[in-house]
Amino acid sequence: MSDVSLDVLEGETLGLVGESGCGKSTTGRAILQLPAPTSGSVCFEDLELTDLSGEALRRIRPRLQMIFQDPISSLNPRRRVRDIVGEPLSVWGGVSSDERLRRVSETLETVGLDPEAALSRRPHEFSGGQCQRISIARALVMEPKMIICDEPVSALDVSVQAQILNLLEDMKKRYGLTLVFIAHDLAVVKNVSDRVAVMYLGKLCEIALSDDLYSTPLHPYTAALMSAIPVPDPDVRQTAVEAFGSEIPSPVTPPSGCRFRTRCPKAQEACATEEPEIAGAAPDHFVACHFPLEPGEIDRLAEQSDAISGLESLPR
Amino acid sequence: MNADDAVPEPHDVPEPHDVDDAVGDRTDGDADVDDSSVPLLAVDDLKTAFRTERGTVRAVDGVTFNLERGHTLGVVGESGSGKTVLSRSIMGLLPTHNIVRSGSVRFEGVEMTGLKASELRQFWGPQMAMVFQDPMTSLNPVLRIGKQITESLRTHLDVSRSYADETAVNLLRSVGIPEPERRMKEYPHQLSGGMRQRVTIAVALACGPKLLFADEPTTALDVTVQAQILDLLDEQQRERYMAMILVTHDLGVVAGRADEIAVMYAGRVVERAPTRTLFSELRMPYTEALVRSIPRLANRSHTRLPRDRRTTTRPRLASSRMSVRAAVRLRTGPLPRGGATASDRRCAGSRVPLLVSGRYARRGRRAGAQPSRGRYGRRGGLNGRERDSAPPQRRRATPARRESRCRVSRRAVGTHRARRVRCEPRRARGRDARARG
Repeated sequence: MSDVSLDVLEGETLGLVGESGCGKSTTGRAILQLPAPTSGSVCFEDLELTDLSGEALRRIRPRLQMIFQDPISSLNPRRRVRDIVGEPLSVWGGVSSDERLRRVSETLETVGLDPEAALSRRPHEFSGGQCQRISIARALVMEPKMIICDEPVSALDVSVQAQILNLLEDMKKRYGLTLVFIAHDLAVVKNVSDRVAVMYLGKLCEIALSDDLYSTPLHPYTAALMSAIPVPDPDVRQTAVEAFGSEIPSPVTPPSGCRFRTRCPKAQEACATEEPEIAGAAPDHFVACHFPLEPGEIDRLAEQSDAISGLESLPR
Repeated sequence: MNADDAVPEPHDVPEPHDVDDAVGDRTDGDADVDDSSVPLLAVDDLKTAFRTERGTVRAVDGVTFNLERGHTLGVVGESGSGKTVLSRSIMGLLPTHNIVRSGSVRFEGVEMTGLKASELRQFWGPQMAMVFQDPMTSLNPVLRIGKQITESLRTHLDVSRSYADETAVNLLRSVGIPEPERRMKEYPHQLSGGMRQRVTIAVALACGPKLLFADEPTTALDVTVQAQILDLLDEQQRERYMAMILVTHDLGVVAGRADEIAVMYAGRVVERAPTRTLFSELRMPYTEALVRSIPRLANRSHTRLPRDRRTTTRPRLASSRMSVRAAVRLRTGPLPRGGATASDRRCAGSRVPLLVSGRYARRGRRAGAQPSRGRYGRRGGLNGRERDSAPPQRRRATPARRESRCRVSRRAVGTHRARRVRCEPRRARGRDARARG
């Protein structure tokens, strides 16, 4: 990833979207210094995290937590839930074992698990959704300021996904959390986020309030990403916009200029030579594109790709 | 139904009873059957149970359906609902120990249950093939891609090595892999996830199967790649006039692509209907809950997803003697008196859960209630395109067109498009016993 600049305001949820390999997880991890970014700065509550190391960085960690994608492999299969969730408390000390048990039970209860039943069981006895609740409990037990959720629902069924998304919303309200929510599904991200940042090949394409982003996407990539989401309605014909006819280029040798130009329906010569800077296009709406979409333009592009796919499709 | 129909209408699904009878008559007699009148695949009261320490898990519990040539059946359900075991049971890809099987699977009128592995092998490849969920693990990491594709060609079709190679290159090209000659010599780890899934599709298509199982083919992939892979499957299916069973947990994936959808729950098909009917008249509370749990782009941010007992409580499959009614009740809670929902009527006291119907629109729903059409705001923007009844012609939604379709679907519900209610597969079981006799 390169030149990614983001602000996350206290108490907000920032969504990070993009295809796999676009650097969204790396961004999340770089914020936590896991590993530290090669260059640049990460500022958390006036503290420069990139300057911190060793003990000083460790002291910050309880306030910054992370939830991982695969709920089952992120929990140690040989330990009991009471130890998994209680570990942060025992590491950070200062809590008696009774107090620890009380706080663990309390947290488990808030994430919707019955402490009586859960405490002495091991992860394999739980379903994927329950395991994700346990990881959320583990992140919450230290009462952090901020949680980075790295694809927390990608490995879950739709119905369980809905529960976990609701749970994250509840926890955010209850603990006054700030969330960075990373996912590849724009619909999921939009559902939980106040603002959404779209990434492509390690670069930011667009940042906007999530409702604005949906109603008026400016970057062609955002529009294409939205078109790829399957809609549970047989009358809506889902077509991948032409942009996605080709594969994502290798991040080792990204294209010159605008990185999306190889797949962009609007690419012109300028896109190959000049790299677009991210700039404000509207209040709270930033986009990195030489030729952002105008209102109504998406429909025209869609018609074009429709015409093309119409030629290709043959009757059965 | 005539399999040579040029454009199969989505609604044009055979009435189960009639087809059952046809199959029964023909397979009882001689083996020389007329291909076009026997369904490609007829599954009848299929049951698969695993014996475990904790009891018997009835993973597939009495599933019955027919599949015509060139049609797509979407099988939808949560994890653990038995959808994967169903497709494996049909193919015969199950372990031999600690397993209880019954029921019948007929492929082009030939009974497949009870065949030996060596006999089943004749089916795998040229007759039916499977695309698995995870392209990372379903390819052999130490064999070149070319070898993995030509393997089945050489085994089943008895072709020369050079011919097999040539076919493999063409296959790779047809599934959208650039520079197929070079890719033939590469190993799976050298390809991206989407490319690998294209290779597994090429492997499955190699012998030109008549039936393709796609078991969550896109779950491990990005949304953008997902659209490509689904389009590819669609295209290949049309070109080859191949039947497909598309297994997924995401109703969004099957919505635009399946002719018919079967919703599975606790090992049973709890609702089955032509795709459009299923979505336009959501009748089974469980299906409705599934649909409603999908986050939608059209919703404002921070919209709460409906939290629903129907999808939050999970039935225990182990040692469950649970009827579907109980399973549904478990999720729905006590049903309101008077305004009983369709599922209640249908499932109450019955071990036959299948809803292949149109009558409920009149019987099940409260009197006067209109089946809702626009429960999920139709999306504008890039996805706001619609498909009219003839599949290849795609037209954009205009308000007028939307309105007119709504009227059509409402009228249709009340009268002529009522579908048959499936009641009793027991009779068929006795018949099978006789046939095997």
